[in-house]
Amino acid sequence: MRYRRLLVNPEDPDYLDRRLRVVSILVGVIFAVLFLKLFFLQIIKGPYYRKLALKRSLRVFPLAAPRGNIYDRRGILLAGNSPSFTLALDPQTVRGEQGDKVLKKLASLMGEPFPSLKQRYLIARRESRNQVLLAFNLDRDVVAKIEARRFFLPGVEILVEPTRYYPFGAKAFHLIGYVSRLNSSELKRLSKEGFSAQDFLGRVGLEALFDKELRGKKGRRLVEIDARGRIRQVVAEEPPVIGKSLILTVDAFLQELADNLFQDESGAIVVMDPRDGRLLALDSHPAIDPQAFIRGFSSKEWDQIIHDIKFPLVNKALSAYPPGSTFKVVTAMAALEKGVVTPSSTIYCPGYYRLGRRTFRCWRPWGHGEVNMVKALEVSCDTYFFRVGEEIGIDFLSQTARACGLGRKTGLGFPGEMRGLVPDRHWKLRVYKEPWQRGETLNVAIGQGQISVTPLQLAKLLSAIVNGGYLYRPWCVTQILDPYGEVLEEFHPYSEGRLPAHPRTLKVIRQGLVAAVNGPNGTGKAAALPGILVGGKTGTAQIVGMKKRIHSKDLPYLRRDHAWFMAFAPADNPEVVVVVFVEHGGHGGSAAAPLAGKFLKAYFKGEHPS
Amino acid sequence: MKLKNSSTIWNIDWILVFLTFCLLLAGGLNQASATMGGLLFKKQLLWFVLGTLLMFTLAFSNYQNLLTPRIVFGVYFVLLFLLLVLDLKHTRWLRIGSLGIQPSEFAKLILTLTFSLVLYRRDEEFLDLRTLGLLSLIAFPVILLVAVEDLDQGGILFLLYFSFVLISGVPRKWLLLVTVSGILLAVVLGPKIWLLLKPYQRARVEAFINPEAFRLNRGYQILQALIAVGSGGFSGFGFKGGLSSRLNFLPEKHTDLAFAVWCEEWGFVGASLILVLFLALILRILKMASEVREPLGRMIALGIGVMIFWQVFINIGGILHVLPVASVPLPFLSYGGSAVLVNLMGIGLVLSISRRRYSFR
Repeated sequence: MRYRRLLVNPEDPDYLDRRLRVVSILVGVIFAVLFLKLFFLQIIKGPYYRKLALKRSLRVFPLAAPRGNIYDRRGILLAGNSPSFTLALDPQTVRGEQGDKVLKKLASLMGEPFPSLKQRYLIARRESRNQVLLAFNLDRDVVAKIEARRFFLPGVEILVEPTRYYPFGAKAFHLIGYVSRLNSSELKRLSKEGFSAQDFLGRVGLEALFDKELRGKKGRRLVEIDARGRIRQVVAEEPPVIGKSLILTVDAFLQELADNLFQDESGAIVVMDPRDGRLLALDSHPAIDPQAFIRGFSSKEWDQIIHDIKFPLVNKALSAYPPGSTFKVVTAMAALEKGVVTPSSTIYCPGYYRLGRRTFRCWRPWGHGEVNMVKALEVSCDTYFFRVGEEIGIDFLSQTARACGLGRKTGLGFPGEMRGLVPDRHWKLRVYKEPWQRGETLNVAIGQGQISVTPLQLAKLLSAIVNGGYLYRPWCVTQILDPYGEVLEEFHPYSEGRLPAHPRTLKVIRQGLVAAVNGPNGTGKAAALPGILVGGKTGTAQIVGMKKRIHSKDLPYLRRDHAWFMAFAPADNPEVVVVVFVEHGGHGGSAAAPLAGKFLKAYFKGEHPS
Repeated sequence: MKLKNSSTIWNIDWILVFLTFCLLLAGGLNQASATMGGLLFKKQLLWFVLGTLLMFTLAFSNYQNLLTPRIVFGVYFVLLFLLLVLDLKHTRWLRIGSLGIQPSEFAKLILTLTFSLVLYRRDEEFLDLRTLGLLSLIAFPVILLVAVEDLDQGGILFLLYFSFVLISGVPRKWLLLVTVSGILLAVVLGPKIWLLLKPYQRARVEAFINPEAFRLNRGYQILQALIAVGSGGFSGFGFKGGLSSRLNFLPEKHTDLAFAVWCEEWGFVGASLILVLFLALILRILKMASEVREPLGRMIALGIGVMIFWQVFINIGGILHVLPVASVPLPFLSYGGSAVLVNLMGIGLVLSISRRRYSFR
């Protein structure tokens, strides 16, 4: 009753007045609810909804940064960028009857039947929100045709994106490397660092080693898109920063020359300036055109590549193989340094060497007769080195080999570079749980068995032997430049130390190497040049220990010997060291030495670097 | 109480005029942004001018001469006829040249007037069955004919009818009975009715309960509306600056969701101002109803107040996610000629009634 009195004006018994008051109060209450909800949405949840609104309508488009260029020592481009043209259609414009007209025109310009183009367009449209990318790597004349008819092709756009371009293709593949898009596991790992699936990563060689420098910095474009996904305006833009450029020590012509030496063979050539360890060429054959990685491979093509017995993806210049007789320079060094022999002391070679009950055969069954150090290097007499090897002992021999830079990375820094192996007692015990056998020392002394070195290690070692004993770290980049050509960083030769050998020792070895190319019975005569004195050493690395002597050519490919030849010239003042490795090539003297000879001939003839 | 000559036209309630103009100004500003100042904006301005003229014409005329039963019921039957014809043509629109008129909008005002004519002479505390029957007989043909083409507008008309019934007095026993049986019926028959509903009707309720789950289809509208309102924050993005409206994320931005555009661009400050303006307008109209002693006038004023209230509540409640979204225009802020005319005519009638404040019956 009391609340009724509250609602009724006692002076006015009109019921409507009472109800008007109730209605007014109800209206007030409901407006209070609306007001509170408004407060909740705009003040309390305001920041949340503002974030949602911005997320919904702002998009960040990455702008690809062109990678830095790679130049050879004379400024010839080894890796650069070329614009690639992508055909992009705006699905909001290209639709319906007008869209069909546009597609018909495009079809005739691109030489593709209209139904197939339209089908591709409809499929691609499902995958993309903003732009439909219909064709990549367009031909320039197609681009020109489309650009000329731009007015009649509404909604058609040609995007220009920087793509890696390698003028020397496969010829510098293992040196320069290649780039390819991130795979899914890399993307997971690197997405925090701002990488996206469209980005390229340097894979092997210099592209990988200097990836950070070459990469540059991606730009970003902040755009506002409307509800249909159309770009309304560019809100902000951060232009991409072009990557830094590299200037190499490598000479593009020598690189090409080196690669051209190989026909069907597989192998590697390392060309080094012995005076400071700079690389003039680093080639491994066969290789793949790095351009192909950007285009992508079909699964069949890829299958072929990874099952190729010539391993085109392996950089053989950085892979370890038994050095064969090229290792005799180390044995010679150890022998002279330990005083096992003098340069003039001779050993008689009857064609074999007996150790206890075992017989170790020289490569020449009827023997070399009396040989001294120089002669032993000239004719590559195994008996001589069996004998001195036994007297040196594995401890000193392996110590000398390590001091020559073998068994460890050269310091070039390329990914995938191998250490090689210098066997010794510890290693034998650790790996085989057996003590060292004396006979094994003899095998190591002539570079057979477990010992393995890389062509680059041999180049480094030979350079040291001919430059007076300085072990220079191999290097191939002289300068890093910013996009405007300013030098940001400069590299200098670095000597890791000296060979553990007296200059007289090195002189004797050099004499032996000159004799090996120029002597009457030299094993490396195929590398001799008229007018220029060349020194060198052959090597033939056996794959399988053999009882019988079988000519290499009669063996199946994978069991044939590896052929080595390392050379330097001119002998009196060496300015170039060449290491040639021919995988399963047979004899060093017949398979590798001629290649080195051809190279040096061309080097000194026309392509003489100043 | 001071006596004034009721025939003096300057006695109209100028506060109501002021509130109306404030809302019209806000509505114009909002349309300029929501329609990007295009053709629709110009058309809306034209409707505003036309509506204002009508409003003052009614304000300065004598509503008692105008609203005779003969005229009102005559118009009522014309409306009924038009609705029937339009239903047969499956359209909401009556086309006169290039102008489109929505008779369903006018139905709100005409029902208010007919209800008032039926009820104003009574002064009993409770509604008798005969009057209830008469009200229902008047209301349901219109509600049904409108609901065929426009369910939401039909709902507003039903709320109007329901309000009039409540205001005329329903015995508490009835009220209790109807409420309890209604709840029981909802519990027992609810699931069956749910299954009987059309998919789009079910979807609307589902989207209300959980808009995030249906954000690409049914919940899209309410979710975008919430983002628009919420992202306005305290001070808003400013005129024509709203991301949701400018970039077309907001559907129906110049009609049903016009208030969301306003909230986004003027923030909490502007949105509260609109709420205050509407509250003041409605309370002012109800105040007129209580001050005026002439029974027909006060009934009409009350009805028009209630009519505006339901439209505001259903529209803003939908946008603020207090109610399910219904396609009902917000008076003065949403685009639409018929709605502008109807609401301004309503205000005009209240103004005309307000002149009687100072006279006794």
